[in-house]
Amino acid sequence: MRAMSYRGPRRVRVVDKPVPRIEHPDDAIVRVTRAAICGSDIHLWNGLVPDTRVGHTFGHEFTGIVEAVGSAVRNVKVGDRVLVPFNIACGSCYWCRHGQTSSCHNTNPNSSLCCGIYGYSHTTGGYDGGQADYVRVPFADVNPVLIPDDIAEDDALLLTDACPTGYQAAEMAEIQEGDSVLVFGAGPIGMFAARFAWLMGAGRVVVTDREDYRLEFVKRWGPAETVNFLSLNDPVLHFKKITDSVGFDRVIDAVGCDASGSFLQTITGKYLFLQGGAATSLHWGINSVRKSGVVSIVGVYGPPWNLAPMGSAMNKGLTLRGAQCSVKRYLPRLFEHIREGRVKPSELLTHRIPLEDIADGYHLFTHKRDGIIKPVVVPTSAKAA
Amino acid sequence: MAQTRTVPRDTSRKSVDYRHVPGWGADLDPGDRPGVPRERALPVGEGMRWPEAEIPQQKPSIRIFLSVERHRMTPVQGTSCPPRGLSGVLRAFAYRFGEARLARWLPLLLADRVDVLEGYLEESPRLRRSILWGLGALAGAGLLAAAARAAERRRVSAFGDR
Repeated sequence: MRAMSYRGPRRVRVVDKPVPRIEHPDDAIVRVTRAAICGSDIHLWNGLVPDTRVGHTFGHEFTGIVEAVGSAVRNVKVGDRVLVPFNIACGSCYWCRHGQTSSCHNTNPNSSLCCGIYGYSHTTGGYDGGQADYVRVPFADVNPVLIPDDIAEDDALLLTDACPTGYQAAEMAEIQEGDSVLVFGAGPIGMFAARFAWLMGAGRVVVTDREDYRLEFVKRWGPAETVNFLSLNDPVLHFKKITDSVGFDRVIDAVGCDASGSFLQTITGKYLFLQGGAATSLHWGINSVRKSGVVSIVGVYGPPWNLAPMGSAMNKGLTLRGAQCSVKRYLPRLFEHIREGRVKPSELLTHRIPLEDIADGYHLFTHKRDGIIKPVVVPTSAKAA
Repeated sequence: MAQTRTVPRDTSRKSVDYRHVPGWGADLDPGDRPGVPRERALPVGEGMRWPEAEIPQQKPSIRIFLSVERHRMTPVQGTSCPPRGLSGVLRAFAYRFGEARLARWLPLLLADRVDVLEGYLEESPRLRRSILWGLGALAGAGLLAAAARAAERRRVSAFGDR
């Protein structure tokens, strides 16, 4: 089969790899029909995530058709059209039993940080991802979800990570009616967070980023007020000024370790590896939220630490919440929102890239060229089918 | 659902009339959100594939580095990219440490960079040959130098005896 292969920082290519096989009676093999490049894949692509090995196949957002199942699998069968949440969850441990599939304790031998994740380094279990013709899906009775007939595949693709992560970001911000919400990052997750903040009753939504074309998009799509932080000397001061010196009720960090905007954070986080990436948006977020406000973190940071103003967080009495998204528990609600026309995830898909051209896709997405918001990768086998 | 505000509000709002945003307030009730409360126990048996202790164990097909913060191997593991060469040695070293230690993560980042060099070697037979020739030449030069030094010592020793 053909599969994307990581060769080193900012270098990927498509290679021939063996088709994955059933390794466990609960496994399934899925033929990928759509995959996506996620903003968090950029952290891997830049070599920022420890234990990212040469030859690893990225891709934790994908949909496909079940091609084979292990002897114990009962809930899906060959030929089923499925979306596969990025979490690999066992369904049996304490966390899975309490709805937190992102914290599953039985799928990531390499660390205790979180569950196994497809195509996201050996720090999350070393599973090959979906930017390939085929992918192995463990615990097939627990993880893949049948795509309902009335849900388009492009919408389903974004339900594997970006859309539910945006929803969970807004939910973790504990938004109440009339709240002002500041979202760092106008990537797909920030855009979904802005949209879902309204659904949870926000009274004001502001999105900040450095890319004007993305801010233009979210201004209409969110809708949201927008601020390009590059135009400001002191973004935090600006956010205080536009909230009568109070600060925002709720702040969402949808950026993570590849943030720009602070020389010190960038040098120490992205070039010297003295911290787990640049924590610029987290730093600004903690300072921009009002006293006793909530900061919701879905941006990805690497181990083992980051420069963030914990003294401010303590003095202001903040609630800091963060988590990888437990995708599965949000799917029924998100299907409902799609059916009711409250959100149309596929509106964020701007580029369709053949798997063979995925290296160009990574460059395009990383450097924010050609008005790109979210690229879809179409595998060779899906084109042939 | 009206909330009684107890915090100062900013009065400078200039956003759209939010009640006209499509779907505004559809998930207004915090108690009706899917992730509230954060830990919500599923009814016994629902969705559970196996009792946890009875999940069959995957046979590892590659060397897996088990975190020292875990007391047993997980029932499933990834099968991508077995450790190799010097980078594999560095990874094995890193996984001896706990996840809160810099000694865990910095060697892994170093191993990643070494792995890239090993990848170059794997990809390019020409580079591999060049390096072998270079190492051979270095070894030869070293041997010649050692032989010359030995000859010099013998000469000095012979001269001293006289």
